[in-house]
Amino acid sequence: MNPSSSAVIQMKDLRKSFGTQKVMDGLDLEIPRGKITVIIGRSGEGKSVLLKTMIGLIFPDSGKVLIEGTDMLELSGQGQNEMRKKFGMLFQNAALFDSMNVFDNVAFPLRQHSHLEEDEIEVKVLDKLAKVGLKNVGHKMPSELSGGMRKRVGLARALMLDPEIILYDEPTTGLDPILTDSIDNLILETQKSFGLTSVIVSHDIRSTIKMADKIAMLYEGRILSEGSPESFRESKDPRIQNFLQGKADKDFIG
Amino acid sequence: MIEAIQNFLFRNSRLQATLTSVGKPFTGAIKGVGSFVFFTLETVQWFFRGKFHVRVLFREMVKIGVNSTFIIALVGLFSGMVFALQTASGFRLINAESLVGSTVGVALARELAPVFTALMIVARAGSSIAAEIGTMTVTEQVDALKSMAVHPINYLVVPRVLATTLMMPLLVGIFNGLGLFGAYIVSIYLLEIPEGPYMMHYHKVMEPQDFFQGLIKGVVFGVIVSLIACYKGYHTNNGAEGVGRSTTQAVVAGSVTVLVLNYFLTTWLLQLFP
Amino acid sequence: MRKKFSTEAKVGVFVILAIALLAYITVDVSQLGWTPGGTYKIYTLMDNAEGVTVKTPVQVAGIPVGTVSGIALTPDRKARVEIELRKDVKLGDDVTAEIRTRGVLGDTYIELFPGRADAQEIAPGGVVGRVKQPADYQQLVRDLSVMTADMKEVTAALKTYTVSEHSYTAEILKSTQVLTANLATFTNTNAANMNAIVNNMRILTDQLRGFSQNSTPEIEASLKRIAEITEKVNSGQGTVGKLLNDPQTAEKTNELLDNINGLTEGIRRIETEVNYHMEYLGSTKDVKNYVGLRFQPRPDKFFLFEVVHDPAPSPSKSTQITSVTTSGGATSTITTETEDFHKVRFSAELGKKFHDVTVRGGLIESTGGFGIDYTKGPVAVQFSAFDFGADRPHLKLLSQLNVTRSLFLVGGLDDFINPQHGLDWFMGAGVRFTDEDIKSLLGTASLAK
Repeated sequence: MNPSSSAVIQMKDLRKSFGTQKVMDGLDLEIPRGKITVIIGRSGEGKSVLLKTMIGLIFPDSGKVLIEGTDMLELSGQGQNEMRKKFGMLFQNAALFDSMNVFDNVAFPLRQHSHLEEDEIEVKVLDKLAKVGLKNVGHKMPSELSGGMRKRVGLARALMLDPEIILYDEPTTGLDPILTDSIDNLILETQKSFGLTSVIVSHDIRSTIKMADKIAMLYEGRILSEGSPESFRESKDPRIQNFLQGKADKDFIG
Repeated sequence: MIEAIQNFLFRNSRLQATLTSVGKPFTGAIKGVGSFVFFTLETVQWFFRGKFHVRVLFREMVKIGVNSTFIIALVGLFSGMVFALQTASGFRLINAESLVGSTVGVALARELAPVFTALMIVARAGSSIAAEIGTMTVTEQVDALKSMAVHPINYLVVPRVLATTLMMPLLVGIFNGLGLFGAYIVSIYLLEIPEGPYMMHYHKVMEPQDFFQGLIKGVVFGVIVSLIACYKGYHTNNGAEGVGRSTTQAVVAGSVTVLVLNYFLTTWLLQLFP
Repeated sequence: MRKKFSTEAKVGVFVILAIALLAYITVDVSQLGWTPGGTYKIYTLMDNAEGVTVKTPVQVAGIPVGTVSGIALTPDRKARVEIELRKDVKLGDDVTAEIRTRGVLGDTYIELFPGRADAQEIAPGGVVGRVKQPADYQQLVRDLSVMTADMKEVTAALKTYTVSEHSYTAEILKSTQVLTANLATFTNTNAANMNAIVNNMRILTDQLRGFSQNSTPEIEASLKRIAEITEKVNSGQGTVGKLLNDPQTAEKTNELLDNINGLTEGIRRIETEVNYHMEYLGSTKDVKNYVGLRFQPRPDKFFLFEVVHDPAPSPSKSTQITSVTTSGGATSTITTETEDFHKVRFSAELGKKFHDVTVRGGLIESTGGFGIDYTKGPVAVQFSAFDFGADRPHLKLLSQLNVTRSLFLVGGLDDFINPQHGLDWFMGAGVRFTDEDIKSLLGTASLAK
């Protein structure tokens, strides 16, 4: 099987540094179509940077980001904008617009990119909110919502334009185990019902093992290892094992 | 010998470090100016090619313009009043109090109204723009916009710059009108300057182009002040602390720019309208 | 939806209010404001448009009616000033423009003088033909400095004139010397004439003596009668005597004296006029001179005394004149000597005015005669008839044109029905001074001293 045909996103030899800190140092990664890919790694390894590089929010110093064969970096601002319509993204803290209520937040992508009437928008928004398990919250402001609810609203907004690819930036971080589970289920359901390509950045091992079709581990600016959850579990690499078991590196302690 | 060389190198490297640390703010400032220019160009590009967000524009016009009306009117009124009071005490020395109206009128129209209005807008709208965009940047709302294929410069910056630019001349006009009214009240009713000569000199000296100069300044200040505020907000990092810093910087940079630019604008406008 | 509307409404209200305020304060200070009738432009060419700029106010009778809308230099280096006027301001095509300044600061404005009311209206794009150059401050300063320089020169010159040997004073003295010398020469050269005059005078006195010697008895008789009358008066006889000797007479005399005083007062009011004029006679190519004295006690009455000098009197005239000399009652022979004497003749006439017409009569050129004058404004026509003793009376038609109060021209026909010679025309000029003129002349003279 030619990987390029099944890969929606291909990243080749990405390099990026903030000041003296190298975040990506020759990173190669492929995201398979229609699967859930989970990127794991320690905090501050640049998982979010990697995710944002995929959608063109952060530009690498060098390398290529191919979205269905098109190099994101060679597109104009307008072209990148168009390309981003293929994506939906759930941000770490949902990144809801503070100035708008829940309804307007979810309706935002439709209002920007469709010419639908307000009543049609209302139908769609309520439908999406229902799908993420929310009712009667349309009038609420984001500040009035709990973290879990915010993430659901964020998911509803990310799904609004029926994207091909959805990127989750630590969807369960900071949530209690029950909420985490419900979000995980939501992601899985979404995956099933919409049949889209998902990329999740997480350091929640339990969720990762539960959901991932493919796991990629980011370590010191490169993909240390990628494969199925099973292959990870059976890996002999101490760095992987330490991560999976939640053990600190010796040098980290030292 | 070796020691001497090492010493030299050490000292030299320290020298280099010193030079670098001294030069850093300068290179930073130059980079900042360049970055601002690119930001401005991008804004112009999005203004012409991007989607026109009418609703955001109107919302910003209300926030920047309408909601500033009271404070601008108040400041304008008291500026006119205090300026009349001061000029009258000066003109009284040469028995020329009736010149207060024309003097205050010209000063208001050409300098006080545009500059004070711009400073008020910097303090009121500029800071809020910087804080708002800054917060959106650090809470990934700006990234969220991008992820939804809405360019933040098109959606956030263009309407704010446009709204400020449209509102500034009108606010300058309000400032001007209330300032003239304040000067009139103080001169005629408080200082009891004869109204006839007061108005005669006012009408003789004042010309529509005086107001026009103020309006031109208002437009230019509106563009530059809002661009600075948006730029500072857009380039915020380091979370809440960064937002605070950006807001402060927006106000400081905006005020300084207004005052410095005013000098050059006056020079140019005096060439245009002698 | 309500919220959206309110946003737009807020912006709308704000924008309308702000623009209304701006429009008000702008229109309020516009020089012309918003002129509903529109404007039109006229032009003027000035040698010097110093201080004039675009927007310089333009006034008529001190009321602002427009502004200068453009200034340019023409190829012949004049200032072409374009003036924009309100359409309802109508001006004549003889309008005059003047640059003026006002106030301490010297604000410049252009004042238009509309010209005559019946002048044709100036059209848009018309040219203001007349330009009064300003007596501006700069010009004033320049003039003053020039004047100061002149005055310095004058003072310097005066100094040299009075101090130096070749000064004016010295020259005036010299001139006076020369004049006196000339007068002496003149009297010497005219000694013959003088002798002739003296001679004539002697002849006249001789004649008078002869006349008195011939009539001695009559004189004696007359003297006797006078003595008798005086006697009678003294003794109170006769009317006069009674009057004089009557105590009542004293009162009456006093009254009379009062009256006389009133009369002298009236005499003092008499207008006196001295005139001289000469006539160039076309036939004889001689010049006749007239010197006259005219008393006018009342506006409608006058007495005229005139001396006429005729250098070449016609022979016929000389015979007439002898008849006049015989009017004293004495019979005398006509001699050639008398001809010379008649070169000078006298006129004494009384006149009365009726509106424009004056009737006069009396002695005209030493013969009886009368005249009618018609005066209208500066023109007068005088007709005189005299010397009725000759074959034909002497008629003279004189027209007079008063050039000034004192100067007049004359011209006309003299003795035009005399068959001995043809139409005799004359022309000339003269001067006339009234006592007022003389007084003022004397006054001026005394002041000049």
